[in-house]
Amino acid sequence: MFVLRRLGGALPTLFAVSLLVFLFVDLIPGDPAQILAGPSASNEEVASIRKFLGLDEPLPTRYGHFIRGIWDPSAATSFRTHRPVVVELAERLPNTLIVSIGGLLIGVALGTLAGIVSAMRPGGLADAAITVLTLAGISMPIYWLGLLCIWLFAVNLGWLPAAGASTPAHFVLPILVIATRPAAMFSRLVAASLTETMGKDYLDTARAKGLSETRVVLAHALRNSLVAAVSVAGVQFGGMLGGSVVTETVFGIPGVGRLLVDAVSRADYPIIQYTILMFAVFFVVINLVTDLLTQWLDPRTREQERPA
Amino acid sequence: MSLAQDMATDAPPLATRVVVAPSRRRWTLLRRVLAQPKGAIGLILVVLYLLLAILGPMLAPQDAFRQNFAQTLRPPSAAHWFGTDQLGRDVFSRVLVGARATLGIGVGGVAVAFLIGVPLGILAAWRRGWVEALLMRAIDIMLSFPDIVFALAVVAILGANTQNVIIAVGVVAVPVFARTARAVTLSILAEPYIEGSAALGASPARIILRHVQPNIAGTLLTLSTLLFASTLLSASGLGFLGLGTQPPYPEWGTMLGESRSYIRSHPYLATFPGLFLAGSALAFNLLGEALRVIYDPTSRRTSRRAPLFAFLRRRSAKPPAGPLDADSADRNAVSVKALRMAFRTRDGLLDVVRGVDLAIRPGRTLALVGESGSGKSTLLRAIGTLANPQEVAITDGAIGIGGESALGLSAVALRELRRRKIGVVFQDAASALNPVLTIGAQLAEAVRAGCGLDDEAVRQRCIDLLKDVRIADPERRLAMYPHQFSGGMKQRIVIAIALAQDPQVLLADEPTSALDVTIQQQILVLLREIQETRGMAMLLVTHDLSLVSRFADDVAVMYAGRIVESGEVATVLERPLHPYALALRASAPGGAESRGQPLRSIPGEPPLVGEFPDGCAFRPRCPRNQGRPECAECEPEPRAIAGRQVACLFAEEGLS
Repeated sequence: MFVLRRLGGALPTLFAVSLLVFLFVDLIPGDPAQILAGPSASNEEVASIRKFLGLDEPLPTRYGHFIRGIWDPSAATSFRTHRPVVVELAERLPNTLIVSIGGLLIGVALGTLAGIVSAMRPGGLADAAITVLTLAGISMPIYWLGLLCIWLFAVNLGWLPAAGASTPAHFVLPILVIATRPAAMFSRLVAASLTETMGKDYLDTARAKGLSETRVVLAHALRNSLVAAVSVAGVQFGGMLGGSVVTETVFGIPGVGRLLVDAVSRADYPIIQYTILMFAVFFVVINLVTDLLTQWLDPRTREQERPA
Repeated sequence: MSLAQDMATDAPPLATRVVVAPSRRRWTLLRRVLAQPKGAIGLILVVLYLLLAILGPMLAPQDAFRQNFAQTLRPPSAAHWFGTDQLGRDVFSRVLVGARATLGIGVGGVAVAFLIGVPLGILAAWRRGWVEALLMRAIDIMLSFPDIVFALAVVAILGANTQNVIIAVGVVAVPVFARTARAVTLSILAEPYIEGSAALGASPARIILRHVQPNIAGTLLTLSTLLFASTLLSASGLGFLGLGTQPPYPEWGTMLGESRSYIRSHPYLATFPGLFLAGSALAFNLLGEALRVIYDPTSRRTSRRAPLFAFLRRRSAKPPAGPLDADSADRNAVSVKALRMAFRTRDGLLDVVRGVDLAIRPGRTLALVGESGSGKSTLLRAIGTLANPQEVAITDGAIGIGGESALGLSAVALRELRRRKIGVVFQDAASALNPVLTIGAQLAEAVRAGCGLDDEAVRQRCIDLLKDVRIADPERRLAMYPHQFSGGMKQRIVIAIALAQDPQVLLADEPTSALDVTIQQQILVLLREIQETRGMAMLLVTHDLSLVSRFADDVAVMYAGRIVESGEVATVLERPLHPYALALRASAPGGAESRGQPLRSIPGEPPLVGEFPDGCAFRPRCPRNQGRPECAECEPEPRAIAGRQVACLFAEEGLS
C-alpha cells in the first residue's frame, strides 16, 4: 500500500527526468546530425542521419518513440553498433548491479561496524584509527585507489585478476574499492548518531533489566541510531552508486557505467539517453528502499491508529 | 558529494548568533580554526596547495610540455624527481603545472554552484509560494541523477574540455547550495528579531544583507570548503575518464587516466598525481570539518565526544575501597557508606556527591529531597549501578544492595545484581522506553533476562505484569509501540519493566514530574501499593516535599552533595532542625500555608557543582549563620539529635 503510494509520488519526478533526458539531444548546441555526420558530410548524409534520429518529427511523436524504446528493442538502436539499446544495456546491467550493490552492502556493513566500535570507546585507539581511515576514505579518489589495488593485489601479489569480469574473483577488487565511500560515510553517521543515542534513558532501562552491554548496544542503541543514519544516508546512496561509473573503467568491467563513458566520448546519443534514464530510475528505486527501511526500523513513521 | 550533502541534509542550523565586528570576527575565526588540530593541519595544507596553484608553473624546473622520446617512462631520478611519462615529459613539472588546472576546476565549480545555488535558495526562502515549490521540485529531479552521471551528461552535451568540466561539476553542486541556503534563510527569517525588523518596515534586500548574510556566511563557507573537496574529486574523475582537461595540458585526474595503461610496468606514474589529488581533497575536508565544528551546532554531538587520542592521557580514578560491614548490610536493602562521586570534566574531577551515608530497610520508602543540582539523581544512578563511568567517577565509599557490594563487580556479576535486585523507574517515561520496539518485546526482554522461561510463560508473565500496573486489555497492548500510549500509561509500563524480576529495591527518579497532576497521584499511589505489597525497599527521588508525607516512610534532605537531615518522615517534617530543611518545608505548597504561614522562597542560589563554599555549604544562604566563624571552619558532620541525623552545628536551635 505504502509502496504504491510512494511510487505514485515518484511518478512526476520520473516523468520530468524522462523529459529532461529526452530533450537532451535538443540541448546539444548546434545540429546533432551535423555533429554526428562530421564536417565533411554531404547534405544528404546529414538529412539521412536527421531522419534516423527522428529529429524532423514533431516533439510529442519523438517523445512517444523515446518512451517506447524502453521496452521495444527496434525503437532505439545505438549509433555506433546499430544494436538495440535495450540489448546493450541488458547485457551489461548484471555486472553493474553486482559491483554497485555489492559495494554498497559491504560498505554499509563495514561502516556500521566501524561506527559502533568508534562510538563505544570514544577517544580510544580504535576510534582514532577509524577517524583517520574515514577521513582518508572520503578524501581518496577511488580511481587512484583502484589503480593502487591493481598494482598491489594483481601485479605485485598476483592474488586477484587486474581487469575483466569473467570470474567471481574479478569482482572482488571493484566491490571493495566501491565500498570505501559508503563505508566512510556510514561509519561517521553511525558513530555520530550512536554517540547521541548512548545518552538515552531507555538504554539505562535496558541495562537495569540486567542485559549485557553488547545486547544493550545491538538491540537498543543501534537500531535507533540506524534510523537517523539511514535517513541521512538515503540522499547519498546515489552518489555512492556513481562510483561504479569510474570503477568500471578502472577495472575494465563491461558494465553500464563503462558503456556510458564510452558513449559520451563517441557521442552515441541513444545509449547516453537510456543509460542516464536507467541510472535515474535506479536512484528512485534506491530512495524508495531507503524509505521502506526507515519505516521498518522506526515504527513511529508507520501510519497507524492514534494513541490508545 | 559526501560530507557536504550530509551537512545539507542536517540543515536547520544556527539559532541567534551574536554579530561581532567583521574584522575581529575574522581573527576569532582564524584562532578557532587553528585551535583544532585538524583545522590547523587542514589550513596549512590548503594554503600550501593554493600557493602551488598560483606559483606551480613558475616553480616547474623543466618544460612540462617538452617531449623527449629518448627518455620515456624513466623511474624517479635526480634529473626527474617523479620520473618521466610515456612521452618523456618530466612528471614533477607536470604535477606542478597541473595544480593550477586541477584546483582551478575545483574553485570554478564551487563558484558556479555558489553563484547559482545561493541566490536561488535565498529567493525561494524569501518568496515562498510557487518559486519555492518549483525550486524544490527541480532540486528533487536533479538529485535523481548520481552526480557523476549528471556531470557526464553535461559534458556529453557541451563537449569535453576544462571549461565545460567546470560548468558540469558546478551545476551538479547547485542543489546542495540551494537547499542549504534555503534552509538556513528560512530558519533565520523565522527568528523573532527578523520579524520585528520586517514589521518596522525594513526592505527585504536590507533584511537579507543585514541579518541573513552575516548569519549564513559561516555555513556557506563550511559548505564551500567541504564541497570543494568532492568537486575536485568529481572533476578529476572526469579527467581520469578522458572527458576533462584534454592533452597535452596536465591535470592530475587526466594524468592518472593516462597512467592507467602503465600501471603494470611503471606504477610510479600513478603515484604522484594521485598523492597530490588525495592530499588536496584531504586538506579541504580537514579544514571543512574544523569550520563545521565552529559553525554547525548540529555537529556538537560530534564535538561532545572525547577528543581524539584522549586515550593517551586518560587517567583512571582511584578505585573505591572499603567493604561493607556485614552486620548493617544484612539488614538493609540499600546501604550507602561515605560515598563520594565526581563528574569527569576537562578540568579534572568535580565533586558532586560528597560523603553520603544512606540506608533503606526492606519494606520502607525513603524519599530523597533536594533542589536541582543537589546530586540526588547522580546518587540514585550510582545506587542503581547505572552511573556512566565515562562521565562520573565513584571516588570513595561503598554501596551495598541487599547485602552485596555494588562496586568493583565484574560485568557478569553487575548484570546479575541489576537483574535480581534492582528496578529503576525514570523521570521521563517517554525517553525511558525504546521507541522502535514493542512494549511486549521490551517487557519480555526484562522477564527473560537470565532465566529459561519458554515463550508462552514469558508472555503470560508480561500480561500479569501489565495487570499489576493496572493496564487494561494487556494482551492487545503487548504488540503496541511506546508512541501509541499516553504519558501515564508509559510510566506504568516502565514500572512493569522494573518489576519484571521481582527486585528487592525499586529506585524512582522523580517518577511523576513529567506528568499531569491527576496522573501524578495515580502513579504514586500505584508505586506505594506495589512497594508495600511486595515488601520492597523504595528510593523515591523528588524535589516536591508535599509528596513526601503521603508516599514515604523516611526522608533524607540533600544539599550540595551531602545529606543535611534524615530520619522518619513524621519526625523530620514535623519539625525540621536543619535550616535548609526548614526553608524547604516553608517553601513547599501544602506544608506552610496549611499552618497559616506565608509561602517563602529560599533566598540565594544553590551553589554550582565544583564551587561549593568551604565549611558548611549552606552557609551563604543560612539565616542561622550570621557570620559565625564555626560555620566556615569545617563541613558539619551528621549528628543524632531528637530522633534523626542533622548536619548542622547549631541544630539544637531548631528545637527551641
